[in-house]
Amino acid sequence: MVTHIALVWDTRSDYADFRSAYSQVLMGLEYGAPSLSESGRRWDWKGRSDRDSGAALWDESHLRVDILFGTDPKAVQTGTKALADYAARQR
Amino acid sequence: MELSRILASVTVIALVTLASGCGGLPEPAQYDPLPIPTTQPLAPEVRSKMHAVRDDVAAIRGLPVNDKIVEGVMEREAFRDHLSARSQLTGFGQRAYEDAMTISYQQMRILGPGEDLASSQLEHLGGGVAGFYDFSSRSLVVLEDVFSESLEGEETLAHEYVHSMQDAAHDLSKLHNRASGLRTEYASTLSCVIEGDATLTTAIYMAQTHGGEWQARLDSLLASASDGGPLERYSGFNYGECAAFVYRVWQRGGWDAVDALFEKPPSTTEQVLHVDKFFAGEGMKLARSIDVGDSIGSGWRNIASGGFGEFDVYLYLRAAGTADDVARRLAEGWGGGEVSLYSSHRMLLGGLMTW
Repeated sequence: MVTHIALVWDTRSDYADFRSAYSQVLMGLEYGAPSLSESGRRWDWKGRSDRDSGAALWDESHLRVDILFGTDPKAVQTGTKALADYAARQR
Repeated sequence: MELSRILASVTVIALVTLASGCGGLPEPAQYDPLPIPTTQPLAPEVRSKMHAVRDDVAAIRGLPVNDKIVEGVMEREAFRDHLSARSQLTGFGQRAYEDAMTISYQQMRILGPGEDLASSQLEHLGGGVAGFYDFSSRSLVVLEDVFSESLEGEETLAHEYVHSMQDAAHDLSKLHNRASGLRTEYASTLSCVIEGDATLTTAIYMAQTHGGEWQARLDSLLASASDGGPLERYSGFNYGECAAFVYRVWQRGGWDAVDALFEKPPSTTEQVLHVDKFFAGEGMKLARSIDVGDSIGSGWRNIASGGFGEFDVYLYLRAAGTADDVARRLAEGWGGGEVSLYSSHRMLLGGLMTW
């Protein structure tokens, strides 16, 4: 099972506020702090169990975040990579 | 998201006590309906009292009485059995959808570990419900003595009569069918209008008929908001936030403006929460839809998609423990959103227990 949530924010400030709050959300969901990619555009996290995982892709130019989480880590990783590739093509 | 659709998929009826609410993951295009059991005829004196309520409600709401409906009594046990049978007969696709949704809700903490969506709903249904209007069969069913001392039965009755009148005036089945396949919050906001209108009309009827505490309830409707945990908030949205929204529309444009909402409901829950954005026509910034199903791997497919609105963001943040004022402020920056669920063949075929 994979859930994909795509969100767009009204302003750069709204986007930044949500991004800064989202790490706390992950802590609240007991995922712990996410690992960040070098670019800072991608966050990855592990869940309470081995099968729970998630990722977020941050796209400041479009004030957008794509959040994927699910119970199949391989599927989450593959789906996130596909989204990242898509975003790269848009830049 | 749209719990109204979740609940509707479980019950397919408009229930007043717990009924469909806003929010929730999107529902699949089809589910398997099970007709409600045959009802018993009303006693003449009960029918007469019910019709007095109906006529008063019609006069307040400004809609004609719907005299095409079937009215009857159902024993509470028969109603519970119906709900149970309905859950057992859930179709293959619907079951997979509910299972997937349960996992998604658990990961968002909207459901706790070990909880599942269908059971959570069935726990509530059948106990506190006094009556309902089933728009599939156009039946108004009462489950108990609707004219007891508590007046709550009469309140339920008035509410359900409003639904029958809405149905005659606006064809609710047709409106609900428009939601199929949309990646927007349409289904949420349509349910919001239907229940918000019925809640407001009923509040006015009860205040005019019984005054006192009921007048106070009407007065407080403008500030009404759902409460409880995330799942309760989804369930209560239509009767809290939506009643307040419809009240504001009614204050500004009367019942004509409320009737217009059925053809053109608010486009987002953001508009429901901030009526000025509704009046200003501030819509959703479209999040470009990207279907990752094919990318995840063969055997994976999209089983449902829909809007993910301001209220969803707010509840997602609240479920994660974000303080109410912070969650509210962050969610207000929402510009648009959608959610999609993907499932594998393994899950579709094996279900939760074997996956």
